[in-house]
Amino acid sequence: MENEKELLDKLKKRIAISNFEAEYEQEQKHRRVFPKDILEEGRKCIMNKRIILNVASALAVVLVLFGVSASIYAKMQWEIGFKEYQEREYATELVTVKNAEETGYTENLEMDYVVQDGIGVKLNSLLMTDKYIEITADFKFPEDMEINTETFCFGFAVYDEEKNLYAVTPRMNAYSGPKGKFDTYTPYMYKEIGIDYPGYISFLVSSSGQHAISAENHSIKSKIELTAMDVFPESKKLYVRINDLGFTMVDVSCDPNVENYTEDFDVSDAEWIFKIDIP
Amino acid sequence: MKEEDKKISAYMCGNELIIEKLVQDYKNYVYMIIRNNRNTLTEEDIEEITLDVFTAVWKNRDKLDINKSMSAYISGITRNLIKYKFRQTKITANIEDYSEQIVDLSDVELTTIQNEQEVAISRELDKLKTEDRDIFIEYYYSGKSVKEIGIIFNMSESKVKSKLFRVRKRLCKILKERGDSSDGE
Repeated sequence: MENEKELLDKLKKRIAISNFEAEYEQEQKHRRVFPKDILEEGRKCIMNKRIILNVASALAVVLVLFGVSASIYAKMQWEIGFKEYQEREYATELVTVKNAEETGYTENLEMDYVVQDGIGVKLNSLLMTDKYIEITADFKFPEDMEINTETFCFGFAVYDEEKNLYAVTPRMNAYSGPKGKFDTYTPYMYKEIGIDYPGYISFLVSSSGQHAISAENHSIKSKIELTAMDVFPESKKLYVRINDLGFTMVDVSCDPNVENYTEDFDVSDAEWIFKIDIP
Repeated sequence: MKEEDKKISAYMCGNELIIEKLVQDYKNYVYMIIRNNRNTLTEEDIEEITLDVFTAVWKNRDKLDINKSMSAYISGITRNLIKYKFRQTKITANIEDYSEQIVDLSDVELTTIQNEQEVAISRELDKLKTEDRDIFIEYYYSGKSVKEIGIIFNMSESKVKSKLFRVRKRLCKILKERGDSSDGE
């Protein structure tokens, strides 16, 4: 039999191995109590949460940036549109009412045509009461232009020096398009006048309109009528804007299932701005 | 034999068994018992059983009655292991030499299974460098700290830790494989 030292060495090795096995078993028990999978799952869960949070944060940042960018872009587009609007073709004319001591007095304004795009426009007369304003406007078209009194119409706006907006009325077709001229024109005009655009239409009139009343020699006489919601302010200056001249035919159907038929022809994009001094 | 009269308490230092003293006193006694029971056994078998006897005593050190005779206990264990090794009979508690002693027989089967593991681990340890193996034994047999081992082998604590880590990793792999295969069974 081998000597004692060898036997003892082997025995020591066995005992060491046994102790190592006991330690290993202890670790395994610990892992059974706190299984690695559960710990891993917990870690993964935390990692997933972190990833989700990071993605959400990144997404939020992207959305914010996108939103800000879109907002900035929209703002820039609006400014470009407004600049183009300011550079539009327009003419201003000052008209002085000679005598308006009594309300309901009709004043012949006696002015010449203001010509743009070959079309002359002048205000012919003004009738002002506390509750009613009537303006007649004359339009003179070139000889070679084919005109139709029945379908002729235009947009107009009336306001005063106190920035009281009496009315803004689009040409009849302006509502028909997805982004009609009225939608863009109105905010630009508000800005030009210096009024905060409230995002909705708020005027002093209960009704407003325009229609042709006579035509001769390539001229059309139209009437603008405004009826006050309450009473009109005692304005000293009245501004009348006439724009978006065209011929529009709208076939309105009573049946809601039948789409309205519109036919539209622009005559001029120019604008006529008349300033009327009222004594 | 004079050693046979010694009580277990003579081989205990606190809760620890003084294995060197036990081997010194009972190596020949175990050899004799094995020879008397099985003359046909080879030296290798005798050595194996001898190691098993001392290992079994060490593993049951917590259960030993320090007032009882060590020789009776060793005799019983030896005979039981001889029987077990050759699977001649089932292990019973009716062993006259140590019928009065406390021996946890239920552990014998487990011990054998662990022995299979031990063989695998022992083979892996034999593949290691002598220094690595000695560090492992100092740590797991002698119970020395990393610092003490570093002093013995004249190396830094971190180096000792590193060596122990690598050895553990190799051995754990074996245990894991065996554990997985036994789970599969």
